Amino acid sequence: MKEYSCDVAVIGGGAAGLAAATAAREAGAEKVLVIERDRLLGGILPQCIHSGFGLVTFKEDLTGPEYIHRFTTKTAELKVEARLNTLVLEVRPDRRIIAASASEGMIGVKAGAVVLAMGCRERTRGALAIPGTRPAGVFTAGQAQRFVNIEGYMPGERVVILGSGDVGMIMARRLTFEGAKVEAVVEVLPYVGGLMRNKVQCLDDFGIPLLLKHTVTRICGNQRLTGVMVAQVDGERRPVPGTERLVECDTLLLSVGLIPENELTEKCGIEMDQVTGGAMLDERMETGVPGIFACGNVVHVCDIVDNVTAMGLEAGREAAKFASGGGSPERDYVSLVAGENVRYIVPQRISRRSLLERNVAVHLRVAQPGQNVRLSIKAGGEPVFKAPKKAVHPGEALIGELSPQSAEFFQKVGELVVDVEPLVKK
Amino acid sequence: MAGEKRKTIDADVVIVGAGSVGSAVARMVSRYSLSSVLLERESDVCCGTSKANNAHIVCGADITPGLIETGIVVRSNGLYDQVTEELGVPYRRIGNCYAALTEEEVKRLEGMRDNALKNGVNDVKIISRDEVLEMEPHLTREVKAGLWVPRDGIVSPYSLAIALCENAARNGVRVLANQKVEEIVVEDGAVRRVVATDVVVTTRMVINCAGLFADEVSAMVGWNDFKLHPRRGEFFILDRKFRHLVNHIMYPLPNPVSRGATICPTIDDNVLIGPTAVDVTDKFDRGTTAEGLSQVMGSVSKYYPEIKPWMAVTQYAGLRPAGAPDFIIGRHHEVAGFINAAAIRSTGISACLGIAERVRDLLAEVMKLTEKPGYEPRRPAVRPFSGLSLEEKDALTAKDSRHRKVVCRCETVTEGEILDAIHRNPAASDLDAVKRRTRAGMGRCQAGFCRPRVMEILSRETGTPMTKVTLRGPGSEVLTRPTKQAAGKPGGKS
Amino acid sequence: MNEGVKKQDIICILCPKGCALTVTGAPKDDGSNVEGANCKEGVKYAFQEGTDPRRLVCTSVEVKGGDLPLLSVRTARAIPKKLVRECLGKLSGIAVSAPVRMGQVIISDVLGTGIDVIATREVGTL
Repeated sequence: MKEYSCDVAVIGGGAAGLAAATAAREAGAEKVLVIERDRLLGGILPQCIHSGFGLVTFKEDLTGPEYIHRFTTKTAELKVEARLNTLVLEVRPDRRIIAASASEGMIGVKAGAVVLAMGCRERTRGALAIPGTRPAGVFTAGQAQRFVNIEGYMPGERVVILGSGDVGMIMARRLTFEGAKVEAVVEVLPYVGGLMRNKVQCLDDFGIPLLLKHTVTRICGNQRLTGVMVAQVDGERRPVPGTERLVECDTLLLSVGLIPENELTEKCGIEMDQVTGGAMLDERMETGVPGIFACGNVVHVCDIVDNVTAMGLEAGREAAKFASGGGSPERDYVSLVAGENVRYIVPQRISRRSLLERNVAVHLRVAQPGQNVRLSIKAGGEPVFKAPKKAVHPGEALIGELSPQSAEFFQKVGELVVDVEPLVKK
Repeated sequence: MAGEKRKTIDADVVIVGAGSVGSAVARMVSRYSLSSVLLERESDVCCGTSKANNAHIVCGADITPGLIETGIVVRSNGLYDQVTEELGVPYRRIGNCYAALTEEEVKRLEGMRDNALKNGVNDVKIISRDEVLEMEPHLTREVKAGLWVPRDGIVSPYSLAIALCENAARNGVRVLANQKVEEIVVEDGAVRRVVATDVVVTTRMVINCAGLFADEVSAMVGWNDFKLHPRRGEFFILDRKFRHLVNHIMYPLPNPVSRGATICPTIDDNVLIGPTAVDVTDKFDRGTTAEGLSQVMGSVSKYYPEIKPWMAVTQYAGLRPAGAPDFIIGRHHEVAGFINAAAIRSTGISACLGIAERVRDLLAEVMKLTEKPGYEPRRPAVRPFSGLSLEEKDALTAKDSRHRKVVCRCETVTEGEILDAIHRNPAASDLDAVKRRTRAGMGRCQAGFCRPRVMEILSRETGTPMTKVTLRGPGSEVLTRPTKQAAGKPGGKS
Repeated sequence: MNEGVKKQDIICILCPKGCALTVTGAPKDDGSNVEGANCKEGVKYAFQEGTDPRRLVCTSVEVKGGDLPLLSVRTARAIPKKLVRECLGKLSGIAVSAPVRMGQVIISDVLGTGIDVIATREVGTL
C-alpha cells in the first residue's frame, strides 16, 4: 500500500474544501492535498447552474459553476494537489487517512492536519417512511439535478416536488425550462422552506402551485410512478382524513432536508452535536480531536455558500497553523448555550483567549420564524451582543459577533446564552 | 409477442418460479443428468415473496405439529449449515427469543415449548426475565419471561436464492428471466410443453414453484382445488447505527393469524422490523401503507421503546401466498409430468432445501435420476469489499484494478463488484438486481450518490442506452430522455 | 394617501434577503412609493419589475466533443421576462464544440436584447 504525507489533507473538494485548501496554502502550508470521491472538483456547485452565489464573498451574483471556478483556478495556481475518484474510508485520530484511489488502489496519507469537508447528503423517502410502492421515478432533488445538469438526462416529464426548500424550487424551474410539467410543490409547513426570491422566480413566474400545509401520503405505480396522493395536514403535521387526492405524475422529487455526512467523523470518535448533526467545534473550526478541523455543510447545513467559504477559510488557516507546529492553544473553553427560539449554534464553544483577543462570529438558526425580534448573546444574564431583526426564519442562518470585552469580564464568564426574543415595544 | 414467433427449446424439466423454492429445486435438478430450464416471470430471480420477508431460517419450533410443512422445515433446518457453506452464503444461527410481557403470555410459554418438542425441536428453553434482559439489554423492562430457540437463524433472503440459481446455472440449468408462463399444454394425459413470454419449452416435467401465482399455474393443468391470495407484510430496515439495540431475533408471542412483527439484526448488520399480516386481493399490490407501517412501529416499540421511525433507511412490503392450510407438494394424479411445490406461505426460505428433497423423491418416482459427472456443488463465496480487512483490500486492489473505484459510498461497493454481478449467470441486468447482489443503493443515502454511476456501468456493460436502464425490467426506466431532446421527439443522443 | 390607490406587495429577487416591498400606486422611477427595501437596489427593482420585468436565464446547452455532455450558460444580465421562453428555445437547438472557456460568448446579443449568453464554466476536450 502506497503511503503519502502532506501538511494539510482536506477531505472533500467542494466549496468548503477548496476554500480550506487555498487558505491553508496561503497560510504557509507547503503540501496541501484535496481528496475528492467524484470525478470532478466542486462538490455540489457544478450542478447548481442557477445564480445567487457569491453576493457576500465577491459582491457579484454568480452561478454555482462560476463561483467554484474562482476556487478551482486558485487551488491550481497555488499548486494544491487534488486526488479525484478517491474515497476516504477512514480518518484516524492520529491523522492517518486510509483511502481507495481509482488510480492506485488503497493508499495511506499521514497528514499534519486534517480538514473534514464532506458536505451533506439528502434526506430520503425511507427516512420519511412515505407509504406506497417503490417505482422508478422517485428522486431526491439534488440527485435529479445531477442527472439534468451534469449527466444530461431528464428524470421525467410530469413532476411533483415534495418540500419547498431551495433545491426543490430551483428544480421546479429547471425542469420547466427543459420542457417538463411541474404539477405542484408540496410543503408540510405553513410557510415556504427556502428563500422567498425562489418562490417568486421559480414558482410564481411559472404558475406552479405551492401547496402549503400539505404532504404526500402515498406513492403509486408499480414499475414507474403513476401519481402521488396529496393530503392537507393539521397543526401536528398529520394528514387530515378526507382531504387525500391523487395528483397524476411520473416523477416525484424529494427536497426534504439535508443531513451532514459524518460517517468518517463518527468513526474517528470525534464528539458530535446531536442537533446540528455535525462535529462539536471551537471558533477555530477545530473538533475535539486536536489537528482535525471541519467546515461547511458537514458541520451544519449552511444556507448560503459564502458562509461555507468563510468557515472553510478559517479551518484552512488554522489547519496550516497546526500543521506547522502551532498545536492547539490551551483549551479553556466557554460553551455556547441555545436559549429562546434558538435551534443550534456553531461553534459550540469558544476559547477564552479568543474572546479576550479577537472578534468571534457565531452562526445560529432559529427554531421558529419570528418578526421584530432581538438576537442577543448574554453572559451571566447581561447582553454582550445585541441586534434587532425585522424577521427571522429557520431557513436563514443568523450571525452574531463577539468582540473583546474587558479582560476581567470574559475571564469570569462560564457560558454564553444565545437568545432570539420578541422585541417588546415600550 | 403477438404475431412474433417464440423460440422453441427443449428440456427434460421446467421449473416455474425462481424464488427460494424454485432455485433450490433447480439446484437439486442440476445434480442429475437432466436438461432443465428455470422460468422466472420477473426481470431477475428472487423478485417475489422470497425477497421481501423477515429473512429468518426457522427451526420449526412454533409450527403446528403434524403438518407437511412442519416435517419439511425441521428436516430442512439441518441442511443449511452445509449448503450455505457450499454456496458461500452468509448465515448465522443467532437464536430467537419470544418475549412474554404479561402473566397470561408467560403461561403460554410452556405450551409453546411442548409444541417445539412435538416437532422434534428439543433445545428450546423457557428463560427468566433476567436471562432475557441479559441477552437483550434494550428490551422493555416489562418483559416477564422468554422462550429461547437457539437454532433459529438469519440469512439474506435474496442472497440465498441468487446463490442457488448461480450454482444451478453453473451446473447447466438455463435460467430465463422475463418469462411468464402463459400456458401448459397437456396432450394425451401428459405435459408436452410450456408456453412463456418469448419461449416455448417442450418438456416432460413441470415443477410448479410459482409462489403467489402457484394456484394459477396449477390450474393450467387442471389442478385447481386450492386458491391463493396475498397476505401483505410490511417492514422497516433501520440504519446500521442502531444495530446495537438488538442482539438476537426477537418475537412477540404468535397470534392465530401470524407470527407477529419480529425485530432482529440482519446478516448485513442493519435492523429489520416486521411484518404485519393483512389479507389483500391484488397480487400486484406491492406497496406499504400508512396503517401497516404504523402498526409495525407500534408493536415493536412496545418491546423496544427506543426504536423510532426516523431511524429507518427504507421500508418495503412483501406478499406471501395464503389460502391453503398446508404445503401442497405432490405429483398430479391425472396428468403425467406435473409436480406442485405450492402454498409455501411463510416458511419458504426455511423450507426450500427440504422442499427440494421432497420434490426429488417425487421426481425419482417417475424419472431416472442419474448423478451428473462433474456436478459442482460449491460456489465461490462473493465476499463484499466492505468486509475485507485493510490488508485484503490492498491485495485485491493491487491485483484487480476494477476494485479501485468505489461506486457506492455508503456500502463501499466497488466497480469490480458491480461488474462481477452484471457478468455472472444469471446476470444482473437492472439496478435492483445489481443492488441485491452488491448492496449498492441499500445504504443511508439510498442510491442518492451512486445511481448515476451504477446506471453508467450497466449502460456500458449491457450496451443499453442510459434512457433504457431500468430499476427492475421493462416499464421501470429511470430516465425519460436526454435533457436537450424535447419530449416526444425521437433521435438525438440517448 | 388616497383610498382606492393600489398597494402591491412584491418580493425583491435581487439577493437572498428577499425583502418584502410594498409599492403604492403606479411605478415611480424615484422609488418614493416603495417601502420595505433594505438597499437602493431593491428600490430600483420595484420600478423595474413594475415597468419592464426582467429575469436572468440560467440553463445548459449541448457540447460536442467535450469531457462533459452539457455546458452551463447564463444570460450576462437579466433579459425581459417575456423573452425567457424564446431564449430557452434558441438555446435548446444549438450545440457548442469543445473546448469552451469560462465567459465565452455562446450567443451574442440574444433576441436583440444587447445581452450575451455566456458560458459559466470551462469544458475540456474529450
